[in-house]
Amino acid sequence: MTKFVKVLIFAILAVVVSASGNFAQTPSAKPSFSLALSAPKTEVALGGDVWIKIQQTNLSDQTISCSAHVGNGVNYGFGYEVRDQHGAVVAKVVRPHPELSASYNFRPCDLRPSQSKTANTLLSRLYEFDQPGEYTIQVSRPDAGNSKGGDVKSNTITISVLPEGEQPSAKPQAASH
Amino acid sequence: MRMTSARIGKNAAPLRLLAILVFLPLSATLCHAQCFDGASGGGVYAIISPSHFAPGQSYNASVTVPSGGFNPDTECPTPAVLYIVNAASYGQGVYYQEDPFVTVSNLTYVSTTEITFTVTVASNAPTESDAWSDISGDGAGGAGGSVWLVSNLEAVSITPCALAVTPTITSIQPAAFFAGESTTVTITGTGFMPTTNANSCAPTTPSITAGSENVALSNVNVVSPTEITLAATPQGSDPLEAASVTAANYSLNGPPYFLNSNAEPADILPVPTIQWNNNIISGAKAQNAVVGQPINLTTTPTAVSLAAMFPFWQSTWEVAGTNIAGYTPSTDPTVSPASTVLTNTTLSTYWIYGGTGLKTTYNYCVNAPVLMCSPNASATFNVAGQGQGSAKVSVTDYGATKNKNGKLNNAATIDYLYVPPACTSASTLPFLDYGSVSGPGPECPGIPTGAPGITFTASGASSNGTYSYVQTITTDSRIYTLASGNCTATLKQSPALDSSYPYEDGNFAIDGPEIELPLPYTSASRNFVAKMYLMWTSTSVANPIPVPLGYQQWQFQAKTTNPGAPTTLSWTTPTVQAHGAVGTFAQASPSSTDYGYPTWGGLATETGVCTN
Repeated sequence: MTKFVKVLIFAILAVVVSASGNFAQTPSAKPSFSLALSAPKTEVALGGDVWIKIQQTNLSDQTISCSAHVGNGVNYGFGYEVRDQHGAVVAKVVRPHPELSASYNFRPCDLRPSQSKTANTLLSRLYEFDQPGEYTIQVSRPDAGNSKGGDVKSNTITISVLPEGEQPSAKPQAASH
Repeated sequence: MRMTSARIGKNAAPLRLLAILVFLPLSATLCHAQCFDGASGGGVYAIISPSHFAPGQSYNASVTVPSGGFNPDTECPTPAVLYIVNAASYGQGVYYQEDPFVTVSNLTYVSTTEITFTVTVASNAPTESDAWSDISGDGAGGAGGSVWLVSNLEAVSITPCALAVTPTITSIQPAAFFAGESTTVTITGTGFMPTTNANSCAPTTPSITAGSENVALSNVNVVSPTEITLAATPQGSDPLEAASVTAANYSLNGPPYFLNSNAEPADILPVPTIQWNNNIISGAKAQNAVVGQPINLTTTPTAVSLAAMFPFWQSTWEVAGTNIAGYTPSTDPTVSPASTVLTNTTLSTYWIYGGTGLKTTYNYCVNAPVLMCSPNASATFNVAGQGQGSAKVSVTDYGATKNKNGKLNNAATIDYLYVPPACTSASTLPFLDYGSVSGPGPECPGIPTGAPGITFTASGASSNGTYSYVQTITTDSRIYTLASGNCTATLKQSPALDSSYPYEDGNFAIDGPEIELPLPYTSASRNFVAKMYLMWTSTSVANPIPVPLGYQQWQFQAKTTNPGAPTTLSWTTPTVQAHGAVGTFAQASPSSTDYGYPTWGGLATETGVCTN
């Protein structure tokens, strides 16, 4: 074997080893939990309550936190994104004395591996659903257990706010897209 | 009726009518001719039909002989005559004297073996016993005809029992009879011959049939011509099936010897049974169950089979012990447990407290057309309580724990939590917390940490199940004071559901009321009273519901002031008026309101108002 060939083989091996090493060191993108969003009623009368249901499931092999501040039907452990049918971010409800309208309780919470916990939120306490139309909703929560960090986002659901005077149909409703 | 002349006079007892039928040519002018020239006297069999006559009735009768002998009128010297002779005349040998209560007419030659005639019996004819005789004279006229057709005694009678009445049934009450049970039945109709009657006629005979079964009847009493009473007892194994009720009168002039009424429909009703998991448990040994287990029982006869036979029926259950139809709470108002429905052919229930020998009975009633109720089917359950009465929660109160210096923590703390817009330590707002909290506040993403105000730990229930918690808020008021006036927030309804149902699954539940402390308030307080309900759900049975174990009432009442108001946040160490458990764990019991289940008027929401 010539010296040139030996150098060539070494170079090839080096590239392969380097490539495989780089591959092994890629951070896992797997979130430590999932969020499943649904709504008990997908049609709501104008001015009616908009409830959503969020199921957090621990996907990791470690106990994770589901702690949150809660109160008045709202779980503040999640971030909420609400958009109208034009894609515009819906305004939050503004109260002259928010300290009077929001009652908080600190709720420590743990989720064991594979355990789920469901939180209900009265979203219409936080956001204005004051116009008839379709609203898309997605929730998120910071993922402290994920090496990449960031938020875990739920699926998106759509809620229809009916025109004034119309009532939701009597048929059972459930949304989970 | 066949009788021979050999019996003439044999039964001619006094007071009896010897009905003697005499067939006599009245003319003697044609001595060689006669109306009957067949064999006569003893040994000749003749039949008169009918042979029993009722007073006041007319009968088309006939006399037949096995071999020819009757001659047409043209061969009779004079028109033939038939006599029915009473016993007295017969006894005296006077055969040509009509019974004074009987008229024979329309004597007609039909054939050499048959003549017909009409018998009319006076309505005042006495009841007389059986005898008849017929004789054909030979034209000698009057008494003493020489050719006898036949003579029979006690084969003809005049009796009211001869009335051929076909009974009719117009109604039966009840028209259904329980298998294996004696049911008193009243049959109403017409033409019944009473059991006790002046003439000792055979009484009407009722009968009830169902398929091939002749239902056993007892205490049969034909009360009157329009009513029969009896006790019907179908076989105990009879299913739900149709039956038929008839009544029959005996006919002296048969065949047919029974005149049957119309068939009135009726039903055989089976004794009910109770099934659980496709096994008959009525009358069986006690069944084992646990609290919260769905108990779905079925019965026979089924609703479908009952509906097919009865336009109306009703079912009735009696269920011992504390039981409910279900408990399906939501955040909507009012979640009182539904009562068990006790009026269906099936039963769906849950026992929520244990007990032994809990008896469950079922019966059904039908409109037949009076209300008929079956005997009870009965089953017994032993329901394991699985810890009710011994389970409890223990409370860990932040204000009852010690800090690192060995001193009791103040139950309430002032904590600076992250708030928008930065949601970091650069942007905080003080909160009054029951317990101690750090990290992001409610409006910021992230995970808050700290020690909660109160922790509930369950124990004492069976390990064959899991705990859950439900919290209702009785009082939640916040008061913020300003330099002039104040602002208050109170619950819209009480009790209200805290957060969601359930509040928590598992052995532990935690809470820590908190309020934010913004400017320009000079003081802030919170008064919070709640009940933390402990529930238990079996894991050893399918589809259980939680059962209540009891509740622990607790409270948190604290106040803080802000001397720096209205410009500076300088909230003081809170003053705690009350914290932790109120009293001991209240065991749920059957006598508890809503059987111990938590109920609420809706999700906890509050309204605020300021006066300034």
